[in-house]
Amino acid sequence: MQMFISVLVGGLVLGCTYGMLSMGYSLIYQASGYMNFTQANLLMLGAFIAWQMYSIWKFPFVVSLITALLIMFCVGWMMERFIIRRLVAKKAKNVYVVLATIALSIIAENAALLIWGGRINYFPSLYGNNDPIQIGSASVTKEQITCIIVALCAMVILHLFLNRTKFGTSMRAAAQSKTAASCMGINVNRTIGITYGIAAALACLGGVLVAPTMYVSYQLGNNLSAKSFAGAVIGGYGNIYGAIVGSLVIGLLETFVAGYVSSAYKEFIVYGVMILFMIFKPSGIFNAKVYDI
Amino acid sequence: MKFISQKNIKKLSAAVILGLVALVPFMMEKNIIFRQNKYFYVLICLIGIYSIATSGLDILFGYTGQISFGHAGFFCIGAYGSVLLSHKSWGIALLGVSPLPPIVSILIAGLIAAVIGALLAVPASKLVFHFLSLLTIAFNQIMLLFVANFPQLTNGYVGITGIPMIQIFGIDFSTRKSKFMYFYLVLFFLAVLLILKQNLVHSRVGRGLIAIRENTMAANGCGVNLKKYKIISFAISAFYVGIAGALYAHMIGFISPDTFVQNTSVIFITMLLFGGSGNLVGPVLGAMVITFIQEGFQALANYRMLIYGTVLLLLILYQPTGIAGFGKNISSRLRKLGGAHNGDARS
Amino acid sequence: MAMLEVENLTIDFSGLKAVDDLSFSIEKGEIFGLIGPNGAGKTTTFNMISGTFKPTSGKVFLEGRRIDGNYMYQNNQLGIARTYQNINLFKNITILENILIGQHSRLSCGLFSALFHPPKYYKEEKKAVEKARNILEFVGLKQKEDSIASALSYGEQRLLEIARALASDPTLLLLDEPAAGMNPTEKESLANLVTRIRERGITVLLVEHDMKFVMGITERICVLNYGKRIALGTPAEVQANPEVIEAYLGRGD
Repeated sequence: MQMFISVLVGGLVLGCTYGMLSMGYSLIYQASGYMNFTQANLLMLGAFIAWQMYSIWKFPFVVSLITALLIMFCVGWMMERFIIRRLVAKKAKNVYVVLATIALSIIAENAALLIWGGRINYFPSLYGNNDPIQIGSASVTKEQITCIIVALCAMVILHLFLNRTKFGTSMRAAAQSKTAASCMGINVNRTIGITYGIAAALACLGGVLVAPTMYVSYQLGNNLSAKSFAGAVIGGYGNIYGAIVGSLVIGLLETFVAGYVSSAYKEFIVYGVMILFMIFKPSGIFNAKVYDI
Repeated sequence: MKFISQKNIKKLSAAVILGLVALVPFMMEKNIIFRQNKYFYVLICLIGIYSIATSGLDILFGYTGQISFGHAGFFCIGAYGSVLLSHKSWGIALLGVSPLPPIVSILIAGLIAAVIGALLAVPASKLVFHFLSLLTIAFNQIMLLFVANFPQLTNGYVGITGIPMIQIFGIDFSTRKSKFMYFYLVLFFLAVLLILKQNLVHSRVGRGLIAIRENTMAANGCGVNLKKYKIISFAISAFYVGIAGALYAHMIGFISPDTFVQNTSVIFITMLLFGGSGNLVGPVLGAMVITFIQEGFQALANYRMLIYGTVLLLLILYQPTGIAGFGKNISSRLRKLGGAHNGDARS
Repeated sequence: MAMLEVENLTIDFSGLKAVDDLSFSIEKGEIFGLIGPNGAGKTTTFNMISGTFKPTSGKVFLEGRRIDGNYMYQNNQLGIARTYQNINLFKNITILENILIGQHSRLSCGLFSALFHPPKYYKEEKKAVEKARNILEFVGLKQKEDSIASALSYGEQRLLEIARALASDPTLLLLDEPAAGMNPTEKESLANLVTRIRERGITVLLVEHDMKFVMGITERICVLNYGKRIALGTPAEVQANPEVIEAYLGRGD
């Protein structure tokens, strides 16, 4: 029972983190039809910025978090505005847009390496002490619980934003049909820019939440990246709720296999599940459109 | 005169270029030109190997229009496949089977890559661009995980050293001292594979692939069995990259999972796009230039990837529709020299 | 035996029946027209015959052999070739190469020949190029053999589409709005071409909006409206049919 709880919590933490990334993937795909491979390293940068402010410059955690979010939102928005949009205007092939996001990802990773070095850094405790929380006979850290709760809140807030606010609705409209939306007076370019910004902020949030439970290093994005894609695919790429569900599934799957079977096999199982879905049900749980012919 | 046809001029110029390329290292070795430089031989071997890999990717992307961000996976299959089949103490040797001579293992590894490429193509042929790219990335990861997580068979992340040297009829093709002879081996493979590629693209099968790239629905209407041809394309492409991987392994003498990461796949694509896809010379050109850049930046080791990423981004931004832009100009001028057949992949 | 038989063909797109219980048959060597107002289901019917879509129910027979549900490439091998409403050429290659691709089903060189170019390859390629040149001459594009397809004028591109379709030696040729965007002179040569195609023994099914063109060249016509057949007969019969007139009120040339 003790192991079950810690595995469960661990899985939820990972799942929520993957969810932050995969929601971003789905948002961007829905809004602009492109895949964005930079997200994971934006997560890493966000984590580093927050770590720098909290751990080195000793700002309060909340201030660090909000600053990081704002910075990464701007980064995401600028990426779309100056790079993606320019490529789309030039009618560049899909490959080039994806390659551009990969190039940005490489730049981000190596910039972090140069600025902060290759060391693995640890977040100091958020709560001033390291006392674990007892759930049954298992102990989990406060940072883990924080991560899960804040992430879930973020998901709810995003849902409300997209469905209950005027701007959120205009974002959804633009995602469904750019022409129709612009006929309605919606500034489609602006909504797409903001979508990228939100996706980047989500990634940043994911990074800042998960880092205290793991570590901060320039490699942080890499491993998380592939599994959050898996989550997005399983849930139905392009569908935000699918992304959340898929990511939680992947996170739990990963920790349960690691805990109850073997750590070595967890990667295989996760990729295996993703590939199986891609072969047999590429539209995912929530049925997104993926076929060519 | 019938002999001086366009096609024959092309073949003649190809043979002349091949001859010149083959002579240079020989002249260097004999100190006729430049000075002997061991590293130079490694460099030209690498260029040859990457040319093979990029040409393979060209068949899939340049001619059939299918993207793959995971071709390092086939590079991996070729490398580990050949090593495990020929190494004295790893791979099949562990199972009590006597290892094969490297030349045989290289070819078999290529075939294994082709088979796996065909298998991958079965689901891949149905997916739209974005999902195809994800599938290929996942494939790359799985291959990596495979060779890294069976240390009993592959020595895991530590890698395998002491990869057998290649000896044919008593002639040493790879030695620890100099890769001079190995270059000729690579050149031979490259020449044969390029000839096969040219043959392929000028045939009914090649036209089927081009049709798929140009207009998939119309290709279907013209009688091209899309699934079958996509599978053929993946398989051949995988074969090329597999052979390249095997040649790489036997040259360097050491392999580890680190070589076959996602970045390597991206490098292949960059080489292809840079030099120009959909023709014979482009991939080779791209391999040459990018390899020079990669090796040239070695000195700034820490900044290498950062510069590489920035250069890539700038290229994409300012030359996207022909990132092959200036590369394509060079290759189209070269093509006009020989009177080329067009197979370009424009946007 | 009829060349083409369509039996109770229906396609249902989530509740909307684009084609509803359609039946007709075409005799060998006929020039048959399929007309109807916009949205009547003509191109959808075309697509079901050629194999682009699979019907929800109903059957299609080609010379007695059932073909509904086949892929397009299978139907091409069996003898159906088509052109498209929006031109679907292979834009970045030469017109000769377009025709060579059109011959795909009728050539036999496989992977081995492709890689190693045995004598069989040279023989077959030579014959294929000759055949391609003959077809280009037949449609009137011979002098432009080495031009890139995208460099042709609109009318020439339409001719190339037809030439490419002819390259697979079809027994049934489906023409999807072949006259669209053509001027009267071009339409006249097109009509002439279709007649010459029929003289070669090829059955032609065409969808067209230009009434004068259709009435002038077809022998029998099937009229669709809202996915259902509302008339079937000779041009004269169809033109006099009150239902047809009503469907087309204010339309046609």
